[in-house]
Amino acid sequence: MRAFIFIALTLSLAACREDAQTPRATLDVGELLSAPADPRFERALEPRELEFPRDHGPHASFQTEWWYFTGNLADDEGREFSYQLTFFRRALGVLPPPGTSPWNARDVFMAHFAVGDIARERFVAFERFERGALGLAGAETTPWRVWTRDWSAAGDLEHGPVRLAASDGEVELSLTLHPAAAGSADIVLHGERGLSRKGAHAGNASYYYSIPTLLTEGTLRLGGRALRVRGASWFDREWSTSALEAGQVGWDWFALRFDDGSALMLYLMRREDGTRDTASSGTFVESDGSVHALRLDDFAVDVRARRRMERSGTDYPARWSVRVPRFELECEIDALLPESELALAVRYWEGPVRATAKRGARESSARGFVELTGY
Amino acid sequence: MISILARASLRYLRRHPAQLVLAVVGVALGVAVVVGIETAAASTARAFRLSTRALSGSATHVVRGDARGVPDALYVELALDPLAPKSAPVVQRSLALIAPAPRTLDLLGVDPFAERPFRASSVSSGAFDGAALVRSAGAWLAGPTARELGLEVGDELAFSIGSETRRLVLAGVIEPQGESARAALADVVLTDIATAQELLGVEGRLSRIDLALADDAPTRAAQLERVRAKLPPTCVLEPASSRAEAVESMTRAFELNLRALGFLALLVGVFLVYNTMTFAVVQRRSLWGTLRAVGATRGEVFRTVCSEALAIGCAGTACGIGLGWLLAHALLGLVTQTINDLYYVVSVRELVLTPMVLAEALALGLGATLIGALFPALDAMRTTPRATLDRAAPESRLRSNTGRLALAGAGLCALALALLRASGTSLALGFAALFLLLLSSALAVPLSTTLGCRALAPLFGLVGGNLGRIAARGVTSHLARSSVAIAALSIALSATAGMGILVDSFRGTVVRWLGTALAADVYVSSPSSFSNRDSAVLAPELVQRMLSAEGVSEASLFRDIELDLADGSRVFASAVDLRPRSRSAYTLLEGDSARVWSRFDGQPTLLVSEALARKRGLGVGDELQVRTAQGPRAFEVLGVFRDYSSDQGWALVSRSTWVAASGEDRVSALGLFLEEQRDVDATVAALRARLASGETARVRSKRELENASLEVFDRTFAVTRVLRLLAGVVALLGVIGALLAIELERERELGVLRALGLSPAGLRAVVLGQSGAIGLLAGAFALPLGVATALVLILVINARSFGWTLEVEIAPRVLAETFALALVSAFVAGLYPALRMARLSPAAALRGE
Repeated sequence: MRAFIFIALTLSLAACREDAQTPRATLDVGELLSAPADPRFERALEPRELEFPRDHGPHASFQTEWWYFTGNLADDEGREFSYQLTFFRRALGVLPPPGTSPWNARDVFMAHFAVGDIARERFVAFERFERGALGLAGAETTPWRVWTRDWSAAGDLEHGPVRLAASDGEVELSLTLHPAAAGSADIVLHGERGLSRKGAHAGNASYYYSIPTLLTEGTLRLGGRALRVRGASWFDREWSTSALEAGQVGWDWFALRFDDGSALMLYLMRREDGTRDTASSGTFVESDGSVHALRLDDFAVDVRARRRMERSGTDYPARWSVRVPRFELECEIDALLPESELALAVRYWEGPVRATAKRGARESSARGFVELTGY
Repeated sequence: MISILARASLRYLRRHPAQLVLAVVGVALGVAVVVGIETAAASTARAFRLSTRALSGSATHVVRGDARGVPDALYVELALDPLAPKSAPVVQRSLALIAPAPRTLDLLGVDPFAERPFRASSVSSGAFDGAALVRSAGAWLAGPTARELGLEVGDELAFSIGSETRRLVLAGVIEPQGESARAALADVVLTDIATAQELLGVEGRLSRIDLALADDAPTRAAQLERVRAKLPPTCVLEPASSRAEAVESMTRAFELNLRALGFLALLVGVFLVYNTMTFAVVQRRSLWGTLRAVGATRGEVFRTVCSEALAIGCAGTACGIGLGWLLAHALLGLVTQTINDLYYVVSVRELVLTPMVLAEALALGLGATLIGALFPALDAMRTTPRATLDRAAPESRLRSNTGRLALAGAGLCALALALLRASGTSLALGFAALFLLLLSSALAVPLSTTLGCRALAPLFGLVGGNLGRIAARGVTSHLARSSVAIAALSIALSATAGMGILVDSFRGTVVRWLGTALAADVYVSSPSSFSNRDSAVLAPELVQRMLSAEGVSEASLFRDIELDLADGSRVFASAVDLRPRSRSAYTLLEGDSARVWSRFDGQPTLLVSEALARKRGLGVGDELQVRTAQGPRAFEVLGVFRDYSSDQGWALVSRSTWVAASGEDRVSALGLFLEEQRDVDATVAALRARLASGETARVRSKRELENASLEVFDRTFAVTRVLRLLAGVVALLGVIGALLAIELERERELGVLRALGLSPAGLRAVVLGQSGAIGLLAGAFALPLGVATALVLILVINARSFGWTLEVEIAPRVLAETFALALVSAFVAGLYPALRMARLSPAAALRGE
């Protein structure tokens, strides 16, 4: 659920600022919120039969989609790290442009790559933009692959392995992901069989599924040292055409993997007036694999602490209490790396969290990610 | 409390405002010319640097290709390699805008997604949408440019590409924030890279790839290695600054020439100051005597005179800087026009008075004033109370020294000549020698004036009787004053005469050269963005249509190219397929014609222009390593030909060789030979009629092309004309000042004449006759000096700056003009003193006796 970010795909090449000698790209987020989608694009109107591996690949008839990997890792000494590698596709038009230059592109890709070093409170984030032309960026179904310049994710999402590779300067990540269960990965469809509503209007919705647990290992190079890391990743996949509805200003997204094998995804759509949009929802996955859709009245999220970013001065929540009475679930969620703000073309907070949870009388803990936009 | 000396100074200056104003104006004009020229030239260079830097951004290196550019595939390979440096593709070319108004614009096709790093920032009013840039297939202009052209979003721009008209819609307007952005985006058409490729018809090709290498040395080295390993033989990797430096260095000689002209104006200004200060000191001899008698020390007197000069210098410099600033605006158009005609396209939006120029102006203005005041100050210091009654002391001192001064002048002249000989190819030393030569002539002026007046006196006597003789002798009896005026006027005149002769010789040489160089009857070319060089090509179909036109018997084919040399530098060249008649158009300075042409076609050989030969030290038998599609190849120099079309020089290679080396077979110009008895103008009209609508090829007869070339030539020298004029104005002021000084000093003498019965009209005649004598002498000295200046300019300065052989052509017209100018300016300068003296009351004038 990251509608905010795809907006970033519409870049603005702004006139130079005094400090920057060259024309720089900046983003005009506000303008795009209201950008109406071309009616010829397909919309997510009703549930449809999702099919894999077909739906891992691109959906050109929709305007926007993304492939989202976030993970909690640790090295051999138990030092904790986090990573995020995401790819967005946005179509500039329904039809490919008519020109004769190979640079003409129908789609534009954006990718974000972030690494957090929790013990040292270090967080770095990078971005790439590229047009879907000349093999510079793209998404393919068979074999499954999505890439933006030299950053890529490729492999078999259901049976493994999936390989992720991204680097920028001194920071380099190379990971191999496998399904948690032997055989094939558990694909969790959100909302109504994968149709996830984002607003009151029909079509303001997306197709949305996740793979909550992908066992992860590989190397992380940070500051000249290569570290062997292992852990677990969460894969999110969503495609749509709709934009945000009027009045919606952003959202908070939670993804938690509990050590008893259960998982929780929540998203809270925030409105201008400070209320939560009724389209906010979530999914609870029991350790036996059973999936339960949650509506806004099924859960409660209270912010317990906030944190002001050193760099941007933006104030983000940093601690939450979450209750899901239907499953007797109560948990306290803490940001592990409060400075996990991606100050990129679009600014948002996306970072690792840990949670202590009580399920009835049983206690457990969790690792996961939170995303905060529109602050 | 102000000292008595200072009060005496102030009182004097207050009572002689005309002197004061003249001196200030003299310094101001000299400084203004220097500031004006420097500012115009520096602003142009700065605009060029800013826009190159801003347009190349943070790029540290660039990959360039051969004539066809860099293949897209190389960029893709670099972009996908994590170990390669950050890169951005660029398609850039100067474009001829034909509608809504003719103008040269710089097309810049970029990939907004590769223009990194992207930063979040508040979107300014002028922001535009990068995705829209990709999507719109349109053009984006900076606000000022769009407004100048009267364009609004949605309007159409028509460009002449090769021989066709192509259009783009104005998709957006960027309001650049800050000066560097304004400089960068002035006259730039920004498009997506796909749009640029399609507009130019270069799909799959880039002009260059910008690279931003890492800062740390090991990574940088590894990245360079990585890029080199991927480079096809047609591409080179070079530092981003090298191209800009090469382009900038082209105009260095041009700027130095302008600067030298500015100094010349200042030199005349120095004479003016010297003259004023001398006069101011001499007029107050009795005052100095009195002051010394009441106890003022020599040092105090010296300091007083110097302070006066400093005050004049400060006022003059301040005015001069302001005036220069205005002058810069006027000169800017001329300077940029010349640079656009000859070197590169630059659009200057902002004039900048740099601290450098300010410092130079201060140093020159104050320095010149102090130098001008030094001798008068020493003179005042040496004044003894007794000497105050002796008005003629400085005159007699000078008169007894004329021989020695002339001898010193001869010595200086010898030094100047030795410097000319010894300075090798140094342009700056060449100018230094020229200035020495002018100064040496100034030293010879007192003696020459004395001799000249002796010769003139009988002549004047013949015309004006006693009055005539009085007028002529007046010049020698005030030798100190009149020789300064004569020196100033003759130096200024000889400089203008020298420039005139240079331009005449140059123009004459070019006219003769054009006569032989343009062998064909009709020329077809694509409209050029640069007047002197054109990278555009003609559509093959158009070429066929022209070649098969009625009346055309045969044609020479030309393609303007750039040869990439193994050392990374480039040489302009023309790939030609010449008919025998076109061959004879190339006058060989080196190399045997029969041998040259027998080995030219289809072989790795070339001919180089005189300028190129000189610039690169090339001669027959030398080799140039040229990068071709098949790798580097040695091209042998067969000969050197005479050429005046480019001061950068260029080479001639055979078309068949070029096609084999590059795979490029397009044509940028045709030289058509018509059948016997064909009417050229009628055929030109018929050929023009064969152009399809939207085709913009230029069809010109030999004569039209000649005229167009001379037009560019004349535009180039427009700056020179303006500067000649300015030097003339400064000289005129000098003469007025000197005459005024002489006449004021002669007040008593003239008063005696009046008392003896000379009518006011007679007095006017004496004064005018005297200034006429000064003009006559200055004119007479200016002629040989002008010729000498011209010879130095043509044989030394021009040769060192541009490497051209010019045939010296001394038109009597230039000499007559110079002489006439001398007389006229002397006459004009004499008018005011004449009128003033005529009103003189004998009683008042004699009261001092």
